Amino acid sequence: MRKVSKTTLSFLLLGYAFLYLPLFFVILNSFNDTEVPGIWKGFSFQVFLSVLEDKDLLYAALNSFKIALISATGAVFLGLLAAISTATKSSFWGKSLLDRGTIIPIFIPDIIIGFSLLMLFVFMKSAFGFPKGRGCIIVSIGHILASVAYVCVTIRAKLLMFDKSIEDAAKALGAKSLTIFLQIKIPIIKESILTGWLLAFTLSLDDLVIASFLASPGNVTLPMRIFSYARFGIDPKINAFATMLMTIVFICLTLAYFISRRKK
Amino acid sequence: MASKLKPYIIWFFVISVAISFMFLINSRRESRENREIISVYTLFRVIPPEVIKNFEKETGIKVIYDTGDDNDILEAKLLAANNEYDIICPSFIPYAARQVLMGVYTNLELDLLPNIKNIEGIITDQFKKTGGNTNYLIPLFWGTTGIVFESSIIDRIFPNEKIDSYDILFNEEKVKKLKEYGVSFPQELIDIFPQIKAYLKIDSKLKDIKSVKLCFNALKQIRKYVTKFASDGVVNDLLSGEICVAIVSSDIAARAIMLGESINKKIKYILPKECPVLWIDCMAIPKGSKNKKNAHKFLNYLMTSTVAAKITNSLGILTNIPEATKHFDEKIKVNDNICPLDPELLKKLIIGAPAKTKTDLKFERKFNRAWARIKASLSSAQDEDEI
Repeated sequence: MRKVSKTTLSFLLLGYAFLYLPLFFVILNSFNDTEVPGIWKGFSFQVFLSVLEDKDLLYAALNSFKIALISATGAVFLGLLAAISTATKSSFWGKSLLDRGTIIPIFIPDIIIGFSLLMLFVFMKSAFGFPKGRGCIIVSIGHILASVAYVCVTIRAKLLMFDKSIEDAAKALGAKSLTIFLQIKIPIIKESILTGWLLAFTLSLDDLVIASFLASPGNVTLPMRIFSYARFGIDPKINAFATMLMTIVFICLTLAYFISRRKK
Repeated sequence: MASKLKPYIIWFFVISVAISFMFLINSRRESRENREIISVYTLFRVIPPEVIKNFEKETGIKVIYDTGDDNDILEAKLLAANNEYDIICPSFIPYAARQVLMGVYTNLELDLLPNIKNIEGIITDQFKKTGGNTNYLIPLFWGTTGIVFESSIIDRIFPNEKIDSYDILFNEEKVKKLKEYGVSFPQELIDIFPQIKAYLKIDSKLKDIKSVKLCFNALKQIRKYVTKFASDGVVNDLLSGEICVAIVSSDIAARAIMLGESINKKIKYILPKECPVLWIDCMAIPKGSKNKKNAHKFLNYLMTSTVAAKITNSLGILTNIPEATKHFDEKIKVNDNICPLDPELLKKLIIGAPAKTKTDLKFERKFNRAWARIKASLSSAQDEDEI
């Protein structure tokens, strides 16, 4: 084995510390036996129990996950279509305008997306009587709008690197375009689809502004709940909740690792 | 080739099943909630869960209780889609005051609110004097704005001095010494402007450019000693020692004092003598509400003196029911700055006047712009021309 020099090692450690030290403090604080953050008083599981009792927080978390799932899937679906149609080599008048049109939502501030969608839905309701209530689907639409551009960019980058001769070869061997799409293109861009999906999922999970505008009664998301707690000091419950989330993520990643290794 | 495709089919299958399952949960919940419901929205969680549970038990009405953190978003939603919530709770100045003028609230049916007599008192008088109308708004929550500080540090820096005025923050010589321990000012201009005006002994009714310039020059001078502009998060900053003094509202101060006791940090709150500011949060029913009768029931329930006392005891936010003060916990009543009961003091509290005319609004906008500059530390000769 090659020996790693001390400088390399220290840079490595610094980098990882930068990434994970804040999370470490969140986990440490969630076992703290006090309501005051930042001051260590003793070890306890008390906060975890109070998280399980706080129905509002759990309900908001469930709602956020629901919205994140729906909007990530929707954003990948739309983003995939947009990427495929804009990554074609054929050119026509106005194509570059259309290409750029898919990226512009990245530059629109959330507050404008949120408010303009709210105005749109209110107008639609008064004009057509639809949508009647604004459930989690409506918030998801806002999140799809905000994240579809990121997904599109991710997938298109991969598609543009795609070797066109493979497609031509398949065509020459008599493959239909659907077969080419499903069996050649999708396997090649699978990573970027997954990346896009996770990106959209995360964007949706963190969003505060769009959800604040679009959420209807009883449809509060997790970030909205957390911010409304912040006035009286960051609640230690939030530490505990974050620890629980990280544990779940860690377990999922470990499982995924073992499953993929067994296959090989 | 077909075997290569398999994992992705499984992926999409899993996702779609998960989503349809979630739709299912959603529709089940809606069908279950066919009974009478009302939806309530407040800024921050001011109503404790047990009060809501008791109301549900007594009346059989289900309460959907949502909380937010921003008056501006609440106002935008209220103006765009008026039929969202049955009860909302905006701050009186300047939000609720101008929202009433825009005609977004229902005229309350006083027959359905027998408990409204409970709110009569000095705070309600103050509310009415500033143009508040109890036919539309119920001034249920109130508090003051003052200075909160860690007394061990302040006592060390200013020994033998009675801290009872804004002098420690607005006097350049004094605030200079506090800088290394951290000084926090509010985000919003409205939370600091009346105080600096009073400190400089400028008549509060005067609205000329010269007086405003004086205020801004004073603020500009102390800007470099302010380490933070924040309205939320003061509790954390104070307890972790990031700041030692801040201008905040009394409910936040109450929380900081309570948490400070548990870690042996002595935190104090004072109402400065120049300008003890009063703020009020109102309950109101938007015009679009579909469950007005039940909304009245909930408002009436909140105005019961025992319920109001429960709210105060659990969070430290004061409820404007003079009857209820009897039931307040000793630990809240003991601090007469957090919970002022002396009628003479209550009469002296100052409540900001809402902007009424167009010139008022123009002034407000200009102040806000200049305040944003000061916060961003971009103050230059330009400001003078701006104002």
